[in-house]
Amino acid sequence: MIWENYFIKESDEFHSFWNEYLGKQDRNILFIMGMGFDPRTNDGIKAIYSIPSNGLRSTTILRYYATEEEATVTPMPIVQYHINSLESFLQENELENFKVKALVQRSFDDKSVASINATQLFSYDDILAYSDVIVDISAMPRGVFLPLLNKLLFLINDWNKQCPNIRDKKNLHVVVTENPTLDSKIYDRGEAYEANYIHGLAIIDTAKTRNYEEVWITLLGERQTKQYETVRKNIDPAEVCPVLPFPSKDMKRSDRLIIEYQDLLFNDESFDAKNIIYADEQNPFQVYRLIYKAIERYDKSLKILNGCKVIISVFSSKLLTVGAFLAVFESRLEDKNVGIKHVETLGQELDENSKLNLDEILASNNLVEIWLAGMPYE
Amino acid sequence: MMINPFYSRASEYIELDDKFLTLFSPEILSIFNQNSFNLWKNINIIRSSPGGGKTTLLKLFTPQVLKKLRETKKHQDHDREIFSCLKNLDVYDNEENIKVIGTLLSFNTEYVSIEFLQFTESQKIRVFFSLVNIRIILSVLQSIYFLKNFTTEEDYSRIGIVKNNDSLPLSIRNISNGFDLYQWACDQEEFICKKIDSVYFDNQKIIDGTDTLYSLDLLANQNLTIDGKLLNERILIMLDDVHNLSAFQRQHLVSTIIHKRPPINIWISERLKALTMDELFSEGDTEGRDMNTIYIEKFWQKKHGSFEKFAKSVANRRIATPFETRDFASFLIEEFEESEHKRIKDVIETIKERVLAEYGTTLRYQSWISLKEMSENNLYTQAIEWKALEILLYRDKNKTQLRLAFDTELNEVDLGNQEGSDVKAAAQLFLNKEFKLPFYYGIKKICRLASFNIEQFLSIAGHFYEEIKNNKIKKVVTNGHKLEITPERQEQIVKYYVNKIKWNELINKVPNFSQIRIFMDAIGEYCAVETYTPNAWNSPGINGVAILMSDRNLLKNTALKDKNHMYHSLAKCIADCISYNLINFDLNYNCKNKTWMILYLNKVYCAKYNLPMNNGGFKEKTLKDLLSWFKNGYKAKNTNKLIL
Amino acid sequence: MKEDVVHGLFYKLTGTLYSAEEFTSNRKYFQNMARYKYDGYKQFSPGMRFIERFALWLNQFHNMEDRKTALNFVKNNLVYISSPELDLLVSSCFPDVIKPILINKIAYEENIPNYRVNEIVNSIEYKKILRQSLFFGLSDGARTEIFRRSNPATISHEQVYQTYELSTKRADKMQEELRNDLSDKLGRDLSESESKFKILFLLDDFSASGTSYLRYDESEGKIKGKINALYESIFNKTEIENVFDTENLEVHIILYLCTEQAKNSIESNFNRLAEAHRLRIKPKLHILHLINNSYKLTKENSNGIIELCNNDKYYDADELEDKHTGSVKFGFGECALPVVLYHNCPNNSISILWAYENSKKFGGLFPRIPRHKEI
Repeated sequence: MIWENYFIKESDEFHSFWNEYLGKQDRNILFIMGMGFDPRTNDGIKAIYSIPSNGLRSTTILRYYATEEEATVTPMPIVQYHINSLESFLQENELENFKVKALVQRSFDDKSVASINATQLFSYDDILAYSDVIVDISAMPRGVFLPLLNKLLFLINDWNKQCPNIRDKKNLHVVVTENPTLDSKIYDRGEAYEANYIHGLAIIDTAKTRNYEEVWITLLGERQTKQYETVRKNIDPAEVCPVLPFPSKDMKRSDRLIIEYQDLLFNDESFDAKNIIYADEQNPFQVYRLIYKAIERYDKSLKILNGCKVIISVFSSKLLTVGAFLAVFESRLEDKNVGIKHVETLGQELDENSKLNLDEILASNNLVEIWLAGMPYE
Repeated sequence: MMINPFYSRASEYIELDDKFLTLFSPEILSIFNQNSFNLWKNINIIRSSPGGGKTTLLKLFTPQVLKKLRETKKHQDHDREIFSCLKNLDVYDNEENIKVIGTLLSFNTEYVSIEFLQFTESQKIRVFFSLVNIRIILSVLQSIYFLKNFTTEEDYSRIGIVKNNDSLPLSIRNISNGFDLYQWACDQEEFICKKIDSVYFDNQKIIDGTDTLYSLDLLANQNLTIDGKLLNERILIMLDDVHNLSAFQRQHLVSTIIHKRPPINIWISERLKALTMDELFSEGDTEGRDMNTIYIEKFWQKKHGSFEKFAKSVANRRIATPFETRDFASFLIEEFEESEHKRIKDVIETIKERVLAEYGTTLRYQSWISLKEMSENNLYTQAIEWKALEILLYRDKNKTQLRLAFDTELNEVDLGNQEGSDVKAAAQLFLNKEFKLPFYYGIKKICRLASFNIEQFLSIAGHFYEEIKNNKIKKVVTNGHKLEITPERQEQIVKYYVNKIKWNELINKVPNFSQIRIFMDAIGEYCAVETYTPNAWNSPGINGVAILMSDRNLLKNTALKDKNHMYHSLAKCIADCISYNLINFDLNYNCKNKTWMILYLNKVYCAKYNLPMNNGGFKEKTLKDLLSWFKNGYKAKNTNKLIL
Repeated sequence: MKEDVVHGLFYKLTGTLYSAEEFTSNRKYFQNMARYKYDGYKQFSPGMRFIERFALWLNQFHNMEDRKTALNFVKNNLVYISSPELDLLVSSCFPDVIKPILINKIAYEENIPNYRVNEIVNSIEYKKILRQSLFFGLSDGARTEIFRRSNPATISHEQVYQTYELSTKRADKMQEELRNDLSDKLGRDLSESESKFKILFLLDDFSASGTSYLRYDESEGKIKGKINALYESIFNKTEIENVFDTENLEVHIILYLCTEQAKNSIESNFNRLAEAHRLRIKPKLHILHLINNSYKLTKENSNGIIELCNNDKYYDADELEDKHTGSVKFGFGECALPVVLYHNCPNNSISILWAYENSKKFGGLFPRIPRHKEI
């Protein structure tokens, strides 16, 4: 298991890690972040780029648009505010200004192109100059950061494989500003009508594999029952294995999720309460381990029949989503037929009422560093 | 009792096992029995909203199901019925041989990726066609495998290919048997799929492409042999979920197929959503020479009776396990409970008093009133009659005031003439609004609420099933408690379903719903105001608005395409309403010497705005009106409207 | 009992309290929660399932208002920890809590950056310290068998013990196995220091008040509790002292579930414990799932359930109290928890949840098995 031993730091430890890491040696950093309405947009970069250090410091922001058309519209005031705020922050710290990459999520004929476009955003040339690539996914939808991380992990792993000197290996970090209260105040507005595999993370569905049993591992999250239903109708799993957040700060969260999904779960012959996987909502590497092992087990058992296809769907928090992705990534390296299928969200917005006590909500922001590739794993 | 059979998997996803036939309702096959319809001559295009039942229909024609049916029809009346329908469609011959090698090929969204990889335009189509050909080959070979009872892959070698031609890719021109073809196609399929999904885009350039749908010639039955003998059966390729392709791919695929006039049968099934905005405004407008287009909901719309029968049959098949032989409809009682009688009597009294006070002294109305006083119908019918009378008297009084003819007494024949079913239906709605006597109940209306969409029907029926479960529990406590659902509860359930479940779903599902909602509310509120006028002038009421076909053309041809057009957002909003199935429409409706496009509210939302669910009640509107609704909502003018 | 009949009971008791839609929603809620979790409660009498127990429980409330309060409490406040949930805590204990402790220790001692996790875990120092660690259960709840089973390749059988009671004989045996094992691994004889245990992990499932682990007895002026007992057995017996590297011994207490109240109480006694045993290194407390103070039921947060607990009609003092306890209406130590563990409801939860099934006055929803049965 690639991430059997792992490195994750949060809140105070996040800051002390970065202080020490940047203090001891010059690191050349490429910071990739989403730019959006999410009030957490700039937290990560400000925390890291405020630490004095001599290495390169580049920034690339992703602007995403529901459609090509939307790209021409002036940004919402809140987005513009975040752009300005980032600009002046970089200026104050005498850092070069950010580059912008645009990402259109839906084609003119309303097809999902987010994951293909996200996969095409970066290539070797973009990362060659850097020792550390940091991706802040706080303001990125999962339809964007999953294919992006997949691509970067490929690029960096392939680089590191042929790089003999540990000093020259590249590092991939994921940064999340985590805040469940804020998450619960952000509503999806509009969802795609179809379920898609994330580009680069598709199941191989061919004549040869047609008779393989399907297993569906699905990370449940609030207010996503319609998306769940859309995926469920698109597949025909022999087993439905929900993943529920436990431990969770909110100890009733799993119960509430089970009830929110009750009609879908308890009327589904492929679901059995014994299939439920519990995982700590704070620890992506735990859910990675549990899902990875579940895949391994199903793969082994169902090979006795024909074989198996494991479909993962994530409707849950960013941290758990990253964990699920790692399990898929590694299983695919081992030639297992595993993929991520999801239903895109077409837009999101912050609950109007929560804007009143936003500062109070933001006080519980918690920065998390998740180190995915590079020195820890050599 | 544990599982709600209406919530368990939609029939589209039920595997090809016994359960598929058990839950299959043969009524849907009547869509093939229309006049002048030749199932086997043309290319058939089948369209519906999600949940219309397309895939279920297609699955029936696959060898696994057809073989099973041939077995089970011996023991099951239900299966025998399906069997004989299919026999009439030439799917079986007189010796019960299966005459069709049907193969179902679903397009998932992976094809769309090809469109956005780093290819030139022509390469994109070549790669796309390449994959389509391979998938068709594999799918047909697998269907032959099932039909001919093959047991191992080696059996594919029993299939022979008569002649290869130059249109085939080089690598298979020398292949002469099914086994080699199968192996080749498997390898190609895996190769292409892996390349398409690769994160390194340079990788993809090496895929071989093709410009033609050569597989359609290769697999013609005249070109295939089994054990040396030419294949007898017709080959039927059913391309399902074509809406998942990109517009470019879909258009290319369909037009290539139509152009080609292939030697095999091809059915294309897709959701309405696949249509471009432009096509959405045109659906049903064009009927090509080379193909049949079947729009499932539109088909039912012309035949409510058949849809009702279909829906009932679907429901009965679902509850067959928990409640054995009972009809689903029998749970939805249409008679009022005795405990309600007092309430209805009070209603009658109230209306009667009103009628007597307003019209009782006018000679002209004496015999009409006394006719009602003598009525021996059941109480609810009496209430309807009194309300209908009030409406008719109101109408007459207003007319008569102009003519000053209060001295002519109206007789029974006059009453009979005027008191049509539409007035009675209006009366029921009025009773519902004023006295809360239920209106939305009974299997007929519940079927109507489904707007001819079977999944919508199942979803409503699921809520009724929960109530039957409740009643079963109550029966344990109170001996004699009925399993059946009273009209009043039925209506409560319907309202709860519409207002709480459906409406909240839309909030998440439909982008910019807040905007669309204003428009929907405007139509709903406007229709309600027009429905609940005291004279019920358009009884039973209206549930739609109409725009001139010329205005519709303006929306479709100009406004949709021009972002700066004053009607652009309105046109988009209407297109969204159609594609999310909030609004149904009819084109080229002739009325008042003009042709109209009618926009009907989806029936389930009629219950939200207390509207009738019949077709045909609408009022003409200008684009300017609609735009003002879209922007500001509908504001009722305080004129001669009934205030309840 | 047949499903319909059981739900009939439920309807009879609650049907009139709610609208039709609410009743359907409640019925589905409890039916599905029963299937999902509650039917797994280990102390229901044979054949009893949740809904039936629930109906019996509700039936004890004297009026409709109380019944409604009770039902809403179960729906909105009750926290039930199921067997698979607890299993997760036990099985993640090593990889997600213990391993990082060991990695940080080696990083510090060997001066390697702590992010070099693979290098550290593959180092001989890591393997050494891992073998020099012991794992003790503080009660049966520690479920050391699951702990052991989920880490088969990393921890030797001889490092995990169900209890913390140490006899000289046992301690010698442990040390002998450490010597054999580790010298095998290193391929050489061990130094005196290498053959002593350096880290002690103490495992347990649940603490609500913390007092059984560590407390200060004002009257005797002494520190008491299981943790103290363990320190006494190590530091006060020379024979055992030799088995441990007492000078540098690290003790980590790992609780699967623990309230904030217990955490504060235990940690506040570490100084006294350190004084009492002249410790250089104080123990550390690690919690897999903290139960926040906000879960403690109060008048403000529980919509009437506190008043219900206060009602003597729903409290069988004779059955539940003894001379040591005082009132346990809100559970032992006034913890007022809404928590149920699948194998037994903690007696720190409010008594209407756990009151013994055969109490004549009032039986709990998830009745406890009384520890000392009086005949």
